[in-house]
Amino acid sequence: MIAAALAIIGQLALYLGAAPLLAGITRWTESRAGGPEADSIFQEYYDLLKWLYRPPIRPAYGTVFGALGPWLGLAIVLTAGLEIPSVLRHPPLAAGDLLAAIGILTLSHAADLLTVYDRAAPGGAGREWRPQAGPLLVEPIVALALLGRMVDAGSADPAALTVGGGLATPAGALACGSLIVLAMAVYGTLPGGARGTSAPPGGGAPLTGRDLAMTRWTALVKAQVVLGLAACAYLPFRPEVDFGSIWAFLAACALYLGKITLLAAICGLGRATFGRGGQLTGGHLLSLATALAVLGLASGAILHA
Amino acid sequence: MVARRDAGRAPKRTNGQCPPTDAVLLLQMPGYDRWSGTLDHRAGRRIRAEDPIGDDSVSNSLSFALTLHLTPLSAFFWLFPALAALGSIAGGGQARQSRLDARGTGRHTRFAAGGILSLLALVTLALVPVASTSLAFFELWPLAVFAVVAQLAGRPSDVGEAIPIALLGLGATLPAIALLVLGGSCHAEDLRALGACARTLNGPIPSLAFLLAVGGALGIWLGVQGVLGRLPHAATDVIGSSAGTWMADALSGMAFYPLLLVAIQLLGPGPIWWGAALILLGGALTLSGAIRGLGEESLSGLLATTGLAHQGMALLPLGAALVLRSEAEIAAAYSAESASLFLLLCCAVARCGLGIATEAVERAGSRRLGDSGGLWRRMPRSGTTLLVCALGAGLAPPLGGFAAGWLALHAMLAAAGRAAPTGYGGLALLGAGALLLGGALLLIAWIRGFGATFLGPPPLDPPASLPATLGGHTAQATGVIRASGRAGTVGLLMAGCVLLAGLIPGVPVALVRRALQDSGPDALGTATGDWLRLSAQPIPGHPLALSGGEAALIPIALLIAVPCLLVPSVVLVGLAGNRRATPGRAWATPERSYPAPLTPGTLWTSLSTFAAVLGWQVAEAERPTMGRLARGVAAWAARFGVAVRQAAEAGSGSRLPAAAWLLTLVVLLALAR
Repeated sequence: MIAAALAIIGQLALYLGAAPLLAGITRWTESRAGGPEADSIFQEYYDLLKWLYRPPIRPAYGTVFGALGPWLGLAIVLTAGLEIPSVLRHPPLAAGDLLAAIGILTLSHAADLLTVYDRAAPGGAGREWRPQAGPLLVEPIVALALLGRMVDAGSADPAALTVGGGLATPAGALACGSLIVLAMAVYGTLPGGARGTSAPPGGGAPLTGRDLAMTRWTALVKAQVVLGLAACAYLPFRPEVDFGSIWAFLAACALYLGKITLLAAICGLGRATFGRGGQLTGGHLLSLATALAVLGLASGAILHA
Repeated sequence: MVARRDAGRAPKRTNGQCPPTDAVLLLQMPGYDRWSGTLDHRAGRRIRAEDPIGDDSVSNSLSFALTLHLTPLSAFFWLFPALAALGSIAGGGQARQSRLDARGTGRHTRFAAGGILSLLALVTLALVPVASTSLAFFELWPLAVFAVVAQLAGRPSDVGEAIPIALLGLGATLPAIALLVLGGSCHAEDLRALGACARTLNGPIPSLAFLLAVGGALGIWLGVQGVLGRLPHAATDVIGSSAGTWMADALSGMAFYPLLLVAIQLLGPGPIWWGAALILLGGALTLSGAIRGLGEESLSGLLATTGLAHQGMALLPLGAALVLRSEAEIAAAYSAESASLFLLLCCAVARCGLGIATEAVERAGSRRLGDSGGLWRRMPRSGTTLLVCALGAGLAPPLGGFAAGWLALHAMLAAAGRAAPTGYGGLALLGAGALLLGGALLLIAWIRGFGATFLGPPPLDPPASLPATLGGHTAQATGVIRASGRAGTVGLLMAGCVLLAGLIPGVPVALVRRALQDSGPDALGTATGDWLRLSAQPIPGHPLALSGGEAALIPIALLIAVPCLLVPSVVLVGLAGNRRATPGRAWATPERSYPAPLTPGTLWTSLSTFAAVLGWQVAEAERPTMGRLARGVAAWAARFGVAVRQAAEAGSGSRLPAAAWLLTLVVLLALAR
């Protein structure tokens, strides 16, 4: 019981702690290939601390939804993340639990939207709906990919997904095509950025201060959770953590980061290729190569351990 | 008399296409209970072999009518007109008590009368003796009431265009039954006997009957949507359109009855393309309704267009049930049918609450999304009703729609896995994707409707149609607009039902199982639910459904979400009021910067969490970098060196900083060790 509780707490800490690193690595590799100047891979941590330190400014007409929305979104995403196989915890991800996790992830959109509408401009929030429809594709597409792989493999066990079936089947092709949509959606919907503002659709008060930090942090954790979910279908690595060996544990952590980084690199490629105004650069390829190297080293360490 | 009648019919059945089946024999067996459709030799016999069958006596005709109307399945579908009547009556009362309705012309009483008329029609038509006629009236009466409502509500020219389309679906069951009777030489005075006869038919007749039932249901849906799409624009200045919406929902829900009756109860297992056709139709309705809902500009329009999506979502597991039936997975098919009815019921209850909240908002004067905002503080009950029912209608956890959607998705997944060898597995999988995507789109559409109406600022430039009580800025509109007590209570009751259906899914699942028990004994024990737990019928030998037949995620969600919400709710809700900008600084100029006023809240924030614990220099840094951090570390080391030197030079300075730094060093070394 204590070990299970520690595993849950550790997985939550991993999600929260590794989320900025994921974005930092992607940003660093993309910038580094474009020139000598590049932000640190820990830049996301600094930005996060900066924005968390700054107090939020809420409109006079704000309601409880605007105050609780960022926290609610983070709680929802973390809850869904507990059901996704990760380093410290391997819950039985059956089809039923997968559907429940997808439903909880979808609920986080509602929390985000409640925050956005709470600070919308007069008459502006009710008109635009297209910017809100893009992120919707993430969870259904990932679920569809996983379900397709499950049907293809004839099993709901994530360990068996990569054994049976193949990408040449209709379900496999459907799952493969969903990754492209995933690439377009996941990183294209991160709020904020270098300027640290994110305006709601139709104009209005931009997210600032702690609200922005919470929303961006939630988005990073969510990207990690969704990518980890997609990793169940595409990557044939599912190491069981041996807590008795610190090296095996570290290798499992590295493997997890390698998987996430690989998927982030793939998403970056897709975003640069299919996204709005994107441009494929050598940084994307370098990011992909870095991810593959980390993944290979971690896999070797796992096998060696 | 009985002997003459049986003697006259026996040769026809023997020589015709329908031989004397066990259904005919069943009617003549002692102990056959028409109420439950079971044989019981030990219990008392309700209909004996020597009892007259098909006699024109009043008691026997009444028995036929009650047999038809009091079956669990038809009783289940009575919930939809009951919900419509409840909503209509509540809406009428709400309109009557609304003091903001300057055009109180008294027409609201006609809508309340419409609900009462519905209830009277239910009681009256239940006593119509002839089974087929009664069945027709069972479908006819809501359409008649709806036609009256539509004529009252909108312009006759607009409504008249769509009424003939709805009339196409008038006899959704009658053509199918007539085909079975005429083409199959079956008898229609008892549905069970008709079903037993119809299941023996071969050739194109069952498929034609199925297509007639589907076409009839589709005619009802399209016709009702055609009328409903005009109501919000045709009747905005006359009545609230929600009454018509409730009537339409009743009709749309009842359009499922002929489908279930013909496709499930009468015809039984059919070819697999029946299920594929329903999945295609359901997916198209789901996505088209959800996408149309995203672009709606009024709550009533949103309510109208999303109705089609809800019907399509309930149609998807029904198609999966037909696929599973064709693959002889009867128990899993019952689970899929349970999911369909559960989803239909949850959507109907949620839409009733949505209709009441929509009526309240539009009665208050807000006709278009974005024209008004910030109604949350002024209409808290309607806002709560709209939010909870919107989450339920969008299949969001942990509400009833999510539980029903979970069962539906599981049914789709089971159908995809079972029908994979036949090539229809991909179609079922696409249907599951349509259900997922449609639910997400509906959730966003309704959250958009809620947010644009109840959140955000009031309009700075209100339209002329907006009452003065809602116009202008917050300072001009004060006070709480309360819906009438009856309508508000009914709305909150609907929201509570939606919430309880998700927290205790076993109750609605049991209700659905009772409705389906007339279809066969296997219907019991297929889909079960418990407190925050769901399970669906697994398919033996199929590992996909076997390992995914349960979900117990919601307790974990609550365990995590409650603590995560408790802390910020105490911190933010209690102190956020001190950090709000003044009302004069409106948000109409988003480029403007908003300095944070120095209040106790901001002071507390600056001393809390990361700032107090870490003490880093992020407060001064606009964009901290590694270099800045390195300079900070260097400065810290320099201060440490100064402290050490001061400690070495006894008496040359204060010893307190040196002692503190030395103590820090010892602690760090101990931690490192």
